[in-house]
Amino acid sequence: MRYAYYMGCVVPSRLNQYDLAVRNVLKELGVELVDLEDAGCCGTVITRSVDAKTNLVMSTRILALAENKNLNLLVTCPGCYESLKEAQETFHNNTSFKEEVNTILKKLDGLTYSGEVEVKHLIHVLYEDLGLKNIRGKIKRSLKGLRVAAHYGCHILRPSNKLKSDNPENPKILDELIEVTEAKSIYWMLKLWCCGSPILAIDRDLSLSLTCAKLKSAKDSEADCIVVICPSCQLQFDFMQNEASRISGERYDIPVILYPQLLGLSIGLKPEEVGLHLNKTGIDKFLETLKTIWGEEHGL
Amino acid sequence: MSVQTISLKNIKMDPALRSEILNNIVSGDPSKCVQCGICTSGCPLGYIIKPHRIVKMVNLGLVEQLISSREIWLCTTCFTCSERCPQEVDPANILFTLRNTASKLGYVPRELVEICMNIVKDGRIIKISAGREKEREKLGLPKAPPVDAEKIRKMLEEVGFLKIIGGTVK
Ligand code: SF4
Ligand code: SF4
Repeated sequence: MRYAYYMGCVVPSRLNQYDLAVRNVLKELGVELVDLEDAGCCGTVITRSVDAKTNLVMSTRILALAENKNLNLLVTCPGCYESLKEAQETFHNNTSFKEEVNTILKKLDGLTYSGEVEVKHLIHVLYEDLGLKNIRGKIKRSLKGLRVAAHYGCHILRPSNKLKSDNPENPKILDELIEVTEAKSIYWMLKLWCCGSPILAIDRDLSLSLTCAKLKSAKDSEADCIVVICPSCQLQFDFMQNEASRISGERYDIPVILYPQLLGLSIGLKPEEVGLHLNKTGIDKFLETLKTIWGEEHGL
Repeated sequence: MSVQTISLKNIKMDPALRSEILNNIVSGDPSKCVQCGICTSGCPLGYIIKPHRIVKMVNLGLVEQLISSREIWLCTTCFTCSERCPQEVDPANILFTLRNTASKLGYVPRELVEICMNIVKDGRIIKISAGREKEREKLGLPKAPPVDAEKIRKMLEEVGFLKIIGGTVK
């Protein structure tokens, strides 16, 4: 199994632990990654807010770079995922866009995109291409007893008519990927809500009010940790948790773990091999929980 | 909280701007809205943004008030409204169209312009600092894939983005 690996902007600039965990986990699972060079930003909702076409062109260029390598695309950011799928859909349904974008790509990179690339988020590669059965066979350390609040993030699910990723009102992929480690994916009321990240720069308090609401919901449901698959959600829940605690008047200390970190730990990787030391909130507490679960043999 | 509510003083209808907005909507159809309010009830910021009200205002041609408001920039783009609308109106997408029209008329929030300028300058939303590169090395990770920022800038010029964002990079 081989994919063009597109890292996006947020991971290399803020969240190297995501990259580390992805590479180490996929290596263990026999998936080969080919770094996509010279890709730049996908445009995401930032450029889409200013000019939707710009976003589509930027994203189509990334699809074309992957096609040029003859590989399907693996992304780890739902923001990129949504953008690239939106571009893919427009490319297929809008002939004038197709011509326009190819004219630009030809001039810029000497490339023409034909529309063949499949875009997958990490969770799709794990769930659909590798499969739960395969992954279950690799689990060395059960996480039985760990209560996990799964946070999907908006742009992995919605708009579902374009993404066709999972059931937008009752998704299961991430929950099942969590439960394959024997951890429990718990019910929490605000599970499907936005983390607030997209409006952080525009209105900090309003953005953090959403973060607080979610943290409270996770705490009320007695989650040991929140598990995410989006770099921006990770930054919001983990790096902003202190500030969110301050504005809500309630203290939160909830570990926020990237899914590949969780999976990595349960297939036997060490915490530093999944970059756990680079997470900010409640990591000591999280390691204590793991020690309790794993008992004498914890090896931490 | 610094939310400016939509101003309803000196109400003005602007049929030309309304047609421009309607022409630029690529998915969904605001005229199908039955004002059921399902969009707003599912919106995590429904007490501020009220997508059903925005759709109604577009239908009535009260678009000037919308595009100069800060509210349209507070949508988190979570798409819950669009997902649940029984009439396939796609309010989240209408909000993007309103933002695009606002941008053309110079109403982009300063904070967003700054992020856009990062892309124009560095080809990425956030620049990779020397510290991050060092951290990668320490973790045994390969160097972050290089980006030809000049090429990205050219693409942004070609597609008309630079003109909208008012950007000549210094
Ligand atoms: S859910 Fe759809 S039909 Fe109902 S008010 Fe909102 S936009 Fe209109
Ligand atoms: S996309 Fe925007 S308007 Fe629609 S539900 Fe989400 S925050 Fe509200």
